[in-house]
Formats: sequence, structure tokens, C-alpha cells
Amino acid sequence: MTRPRDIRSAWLAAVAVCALAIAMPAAAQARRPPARSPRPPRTPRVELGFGAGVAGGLTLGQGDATLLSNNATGSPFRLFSTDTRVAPAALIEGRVGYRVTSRLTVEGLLTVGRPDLISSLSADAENATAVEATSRLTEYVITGGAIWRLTTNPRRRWTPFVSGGAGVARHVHEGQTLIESGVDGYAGGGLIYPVGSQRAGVSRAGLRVDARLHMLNGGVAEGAGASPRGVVTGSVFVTF
Amino acid sequence: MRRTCVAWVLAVCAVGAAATPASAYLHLSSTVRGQTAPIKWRQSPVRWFSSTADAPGVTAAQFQTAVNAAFGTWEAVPTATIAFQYGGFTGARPSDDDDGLSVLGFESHGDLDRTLAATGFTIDIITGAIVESDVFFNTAFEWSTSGAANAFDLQSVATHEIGHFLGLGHSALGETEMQAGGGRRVVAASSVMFPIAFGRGITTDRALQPDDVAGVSNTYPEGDFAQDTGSVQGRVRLGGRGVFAAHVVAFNLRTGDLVGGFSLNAEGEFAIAGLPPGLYAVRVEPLDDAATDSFFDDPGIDTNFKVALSDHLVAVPKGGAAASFDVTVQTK
Repeated sequence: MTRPRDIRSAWLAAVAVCALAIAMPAAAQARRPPARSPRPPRTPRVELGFGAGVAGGLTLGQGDATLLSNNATGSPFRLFSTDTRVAPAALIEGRVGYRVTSRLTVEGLLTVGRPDLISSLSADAENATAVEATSRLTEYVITGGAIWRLTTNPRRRWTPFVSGGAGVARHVHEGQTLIESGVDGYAGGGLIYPVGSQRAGVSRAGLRVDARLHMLNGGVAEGAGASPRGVVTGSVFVTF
Repeated sequence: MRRTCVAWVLAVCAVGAAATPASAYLHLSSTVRGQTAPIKWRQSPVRWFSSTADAPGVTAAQFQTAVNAAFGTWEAVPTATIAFQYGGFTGARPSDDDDGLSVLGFESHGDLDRTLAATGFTIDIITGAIVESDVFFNTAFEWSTSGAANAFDLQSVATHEIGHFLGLGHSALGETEMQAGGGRRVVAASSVMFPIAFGRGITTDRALQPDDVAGVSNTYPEGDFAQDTGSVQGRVRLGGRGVFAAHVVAFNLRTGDLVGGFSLNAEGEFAIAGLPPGLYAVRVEPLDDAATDSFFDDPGIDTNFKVALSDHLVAVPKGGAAASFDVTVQTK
């Protein structure tokens, strides 16, 4: 008849373990300091920016409207000449970034501009008056990219950075009946100027100046190869 | 009961336009029950026969080979559906109207001293459908199938006439100059359907130009042609009024293609269809590079205005029309 005693022993052991389990936290609690220490401030990582600027012109190329001459080779006979370009124009931009490290921020950028598309028509075979034929273009460029701060010294007011990225350009022609798409890549740099209070060494707001060289392939520049264009913008940003 | 009418309406001329009326933007048309309907074949393939007549320097077999190649050029347009079937040699003459055979061949027309070739139709005047079409090549001229310098190229002229055979009218996409002996000489052209032929020994018109391709594709569209292309439309204005029969040219800034059309009413309204999407420059000129009756039978054609380049760049969409705009011209 030893089995009931064994069961009783097991119960006693279980109760003892439970009591120990309940007692240990109480003992640990008793060893903590009476007040919590302050948590370190969270580094602001998200940045929202909004700005405006100017996009340089874009050369789309020259060409002749030609007929076939009345000779054995059908050599070109120029009816008139064209020289086509996108005019410089103002733009606005919006930006959202995420600060990955103290130096690196990845960001998405949307720019919108409404440049004129101009083609100079001249040298007409029947002496038509030369004209500048125009139409209005609305350009949307959405890119993803990154900036790399060249310094993180908080004592410097201006922080230089380099930037790069790529995305898509959408060109909506006048009347919104023709839409063309292309690939846009850029590289550049700029300066960041913090304003306002700081948290964890990161300013809550600031000013930013960008200078970028964009290369457009396709879209309104279809057939013209990779077409370079300069863009300069100034923006304000907030972080949180 | 089908009612038909027969008309010899078009010609390619050696040194001057001498054809009877045609219609515009490359489409021939007929008035059916008060409505203008395009003249076109309603069935495909279209069967044609080659005449057994020879001409100096060109045998009937050589003729058939050259004309067959010209038919093949039109049939090869990827955006058009028309097809042809060679029916064989026949002793019938092209001028045997309404015999049920579409015959192409040599004929002597010494009285037509400026007409290289001409195309005639028998059409169903109820539907506008072409029932029969015949083409004669005038043996009053020297012909060659090899591009000989002293003769007109048969395949080039056949390509032009087959454009009419399909229902296309003349294009004005060319420049000419007056000749001392009368008539006009082509300086340059960019359409097989220009009414005046290139000179002897020149084979340029064996190949279709964008203007020709747009015309045949618009008449016999393949599949999604209408959805894949767009049009330019607007008005030609002079002193606040419309200009009738002005020649309007759309130039694709990207491809360099030129396609022409005309303003077709008293308001000066024009529309050029079958254009690949893209940006276009527009040029307007008077119809003064060939006899106006090569294009229109209307006597009210206004040619007293200067050539003008539009200050409006046109964005042609896919499957639609660009916004209408005016081109203002000045009197000479």
C-alpha cells in the first residue's frame, strides 16, 4: 500500500514548486529600484518634404519633313525643318523619406511640372513664315532613391549630401488624350539646413536644397535616346 | 436588282494632270441615296486578270509579273486587309466595261498624250461597292519593267493605278514646277498616289509611302487599326471664313512620316485619320501643284492663299482624335 503515499508526495512537490514560482517574482520586485529610469528619446525616422523648383529644358532633336526627289535615288527634298524641345519650367515636388541610419535616408519623390513643348518650324520649301509650334505638357515623375549625408557632425549647420534614384516619368499631352511613359534616373546632391529643436540629434524640421541631373529615356523623349536635364529645387521638411 | 454605273475617273499623267474628278483624303466616294459613301471592294480577295496585249519592250508575261508585284505591294501592308487573286490571262480589254472581269493591260490611247494610265470602275450605286475595275496602260508611252532610263517604270505606275483600283483618290503630297513646254514636272513627292508620275527610269513609286499606307489602311482596316491610330482635325480659315480644298499635311516629329489630307467643306474642316499616336506639326498649302480637277470636281477651290505652318503642335492619341484647332492662312 505504498501508492497513496507516493501520490501525496507528488502533490507536496507540486505545491512547493508553485509557491516558489509565486514567491520569486515578489523577491525580484523587491530588488528593483523604486522608480523607472527615463527611456532614451526615439530617433525621428520619417521625413516629409514639400518644395518647388525649376527643371531645365530638354532637347528632343532636329528633323526635316522630306519628300522624295524626282531622281533615280529618290534623295530627300526638304519640305520644312523642325527643331523640337521641352522648355524649362517650374515644378513642385513632394517627398517622403525614411532615415535608415544617421547618414542614409531612402525616399520617394514626386515632381509635377507643366512645361511647353516647342517645335521651331522653318526653312519651308515654299517660304512659309517660320513659326514656333507649341503645346502644353504635364509631366509627372515618380522616383525612388536615397541620399547619403557626407557628415553627421551636429555642430555643422549645413549638411551636404549626395543623392541618386530612378523611377518613371508620365507625360500627359494637351487635351489629355495622349499619354507617354518613360524611365527617369537621376544623380545629384544638395544641402540640408536644420531648423527648430532637435530630438536624438535629429532636427524636427529643416530646409533642403537639391540639384539633380536627370536622364530621361522614353516618354516625350522617345527616340531621342537618354536625354539629360538639370533640376534645382528648394524644399522644407519635417521629421517625426 | 443591282444597278451599276461605269466611270473612268483617274489617271496618272506624264507631264500634266488631265484626269476627271476624284475625291479627297485618298478616298473615292459616290453619292448613294443622298449620302456620300466610299467606293471600295466589299469582298476579298479581289480577282484580277492580265491582258494578253504586249507593248513595245514589254511582253504580256513581263506585264503580268510587274503588275502582280504591284498588287503584292498593297497586299503586304500589315494594317490593311485587302487581298488579291490572279485569275489568269484574258483576251478581254480593259476598256470592255461591265464584262464582269477586272482587267489590267496595255491599250493604245494616242489621243491621251499626257495620260500614262487610267483606272475605271463599275460600281453598285446602291452600296458604293466596286463591282469591276479595269486599268489601261497607254502604249503611246515607252514602258519598262527593268527601270530603263528611257521608259516609264511599269511597276511604279501600276502601284499607283492599283491604289485607284482599291478606291483611293489622289494625294497632293508633292511639289511640282511648270515646264516650258506646258504641263508640270514633279520636283519631289512622298506618295505613290500623287497624280503626276516621276520621270522615266525612276522606280521610286514601287514602294508605298506612309501617306499611301494610311489611306489603304483607313479604307480596309486590319483588326485594331482604328483603335491603334488616331486623327488630326481642325479648320483652315482665311479672313474669318473657311477654305475649301486646302491641302493639309501632318508631319510626325518622331518618325518623320508625312500624311496628307484636305479641307472638305465650306467651313474649311479637315480630318486626317490613320495616324500613329504622337506629336505632329501641321502645314497647309493651296492645291496648286497639279490641276485641281485631279482632286475635286468642285469649281470652288480656293488656291489664293500662302503656305502656312501651324503654330499648334498636335498630340494624336491612340484610338481617338486630337482636339480640333484652326490654321489661319493669309491671301497671297
